[in-house]
Amino acid sequence: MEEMNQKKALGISLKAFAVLMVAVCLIYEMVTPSVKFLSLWFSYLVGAVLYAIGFLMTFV
Amino acid sequence: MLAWPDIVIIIGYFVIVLGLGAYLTRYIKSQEDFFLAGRKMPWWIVACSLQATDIGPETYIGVTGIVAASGLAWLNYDWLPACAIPCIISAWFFVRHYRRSGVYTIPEFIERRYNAPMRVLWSVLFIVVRTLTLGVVIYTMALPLSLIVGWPWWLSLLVAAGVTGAYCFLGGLTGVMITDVLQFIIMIVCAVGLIIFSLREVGGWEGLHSALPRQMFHVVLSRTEGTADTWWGAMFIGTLSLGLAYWCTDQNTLQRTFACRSDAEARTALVVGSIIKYPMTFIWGLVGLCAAVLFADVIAENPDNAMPKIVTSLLPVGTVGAAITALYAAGMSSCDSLLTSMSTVLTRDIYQRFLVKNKPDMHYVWAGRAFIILILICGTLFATVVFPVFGAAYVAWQSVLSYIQFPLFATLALGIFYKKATALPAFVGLLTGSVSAFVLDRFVGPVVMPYWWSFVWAGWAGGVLTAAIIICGSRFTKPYSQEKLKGLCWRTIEEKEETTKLLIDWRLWSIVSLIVGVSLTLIFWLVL
Repeated sequence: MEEMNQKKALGISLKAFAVLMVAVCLIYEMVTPSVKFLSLWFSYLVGAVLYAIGFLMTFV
Repeated sequence: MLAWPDIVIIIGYFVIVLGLGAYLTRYIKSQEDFFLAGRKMPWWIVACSLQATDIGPETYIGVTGIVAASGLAWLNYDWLPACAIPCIISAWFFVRHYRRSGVYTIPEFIERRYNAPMRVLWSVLFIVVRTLTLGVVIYTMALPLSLIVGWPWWLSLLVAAGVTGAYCFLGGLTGVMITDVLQFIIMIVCAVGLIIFSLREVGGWEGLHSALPRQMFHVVLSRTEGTADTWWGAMFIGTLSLGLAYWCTDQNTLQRTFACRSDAEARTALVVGSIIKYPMTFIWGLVGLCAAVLFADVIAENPDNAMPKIVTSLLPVGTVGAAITALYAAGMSSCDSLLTSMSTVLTRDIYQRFLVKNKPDMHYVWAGRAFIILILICGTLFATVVFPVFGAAYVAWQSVLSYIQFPLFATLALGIFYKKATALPAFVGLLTGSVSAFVLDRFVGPVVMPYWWSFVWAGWAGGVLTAAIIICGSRFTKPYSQEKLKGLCWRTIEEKEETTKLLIDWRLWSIVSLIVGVSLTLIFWLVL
């Protein structure tokens, strides 16, 4: 039970970091006219990978 | 200066790590919970934590820089000779004895095997060495970050040290290990991102291979190809002493294995950790090689600038923040381990053993927390005041400290494998071996054989001398009783062969680790 909660906390932390990363990049693209939409695709990809790892963490 | 999204990501990361530490406070109900995570940790958390601890900011920046300047041969410090083989030896021959004795610290084991003065000597050496190391970790974490992020140096230092101290204070070893895993994952993902962009910039593997001399890709160098520190003898025999000392006797590392649920999981964590290390350090080495092609002028000026230059030049907004977070993570995961291990030694081996006995368990948890704050203040003071002023002197002092590592290993190894070893010869041997290693490295080796001499040979010489003194001296002292040595020495109780699941079979993982290590060495010696 304890280990399950720790894994859950770890997964949530990773997911929170990933969401933060994607959200911040999205806002940056929206408010900066010189930056085109999806030009920060790699940052979204990194965020998505981190989110996926966080999601999988609870099943390890 | 960084774009604002990167700064938001870095600050957000600190908040998340603090929140995680605060959440894990609920599991602290006893000394065992605070110092050893309740001895309930699964092997995969311990494996990630071990490697996150081993990879500090000096590795993140230093490995990339040194590979950029002189090639992949330096990876041997993290591959077969200095990591995998010592981890396997530790898993097969050492960890079981420590765990079976039920100790919290290596000095505690030393007292049981030898006597109380040996415990005090070991604890004092550990605290002095590690406080200075902590200062350097804090310094190396804060300085490059202040350069990249643009924050004043003191702010960068206070933020990193403050956040690390806070989650150690709150969550103890549980907090440290769980955040280590988080940091480890962020480090890996960012390292992969970094190598994708770096390779794309140099024209892929083909472009990289054709742009650099063949020698830069070799991990096995003859003396004429390399230096006294990088030729195969120094790398494959010399560095073994450093690896054995680190992975078999260091409280900072082994405390995590004490936190495992079972012997089998502790052994598996060590061996699997060594397998994880191969790709991680290879990626950083590869980034270093790319930096050697892309930023040759920067490398020529200062190799340590290779990593910051690649991060800020090649990565897009957002990923830069994550990569800097990974750099902070590397520092924090090393810093938190130092804080918890030193606090454990101070509480268990000095405070509880000699000063304040027989108090409730939570009293010692709070003592441990108080020591975390004290150690953090000492380390930060060292980083802010002493290091910038006496940096060169510190580097010399640090190399002096490296001389005691292998004599320490010899003392502990003989304590386990040589039943006749007693305290007095061990005490004398430890001091004599350390001083001899210093004298050899400073005054004899560089004069007598300057072409071949490297500091790693001094460690070997000191260790062999220590072992000789212990073996000879113990013949003239009264051996300890079988009762005292029971369970502490090799084959003093009946060893039952453990039956384990395939996933946590350290014997199987040891074979995998050796095959991977030997294959990589052959590929980067004969094929590339």
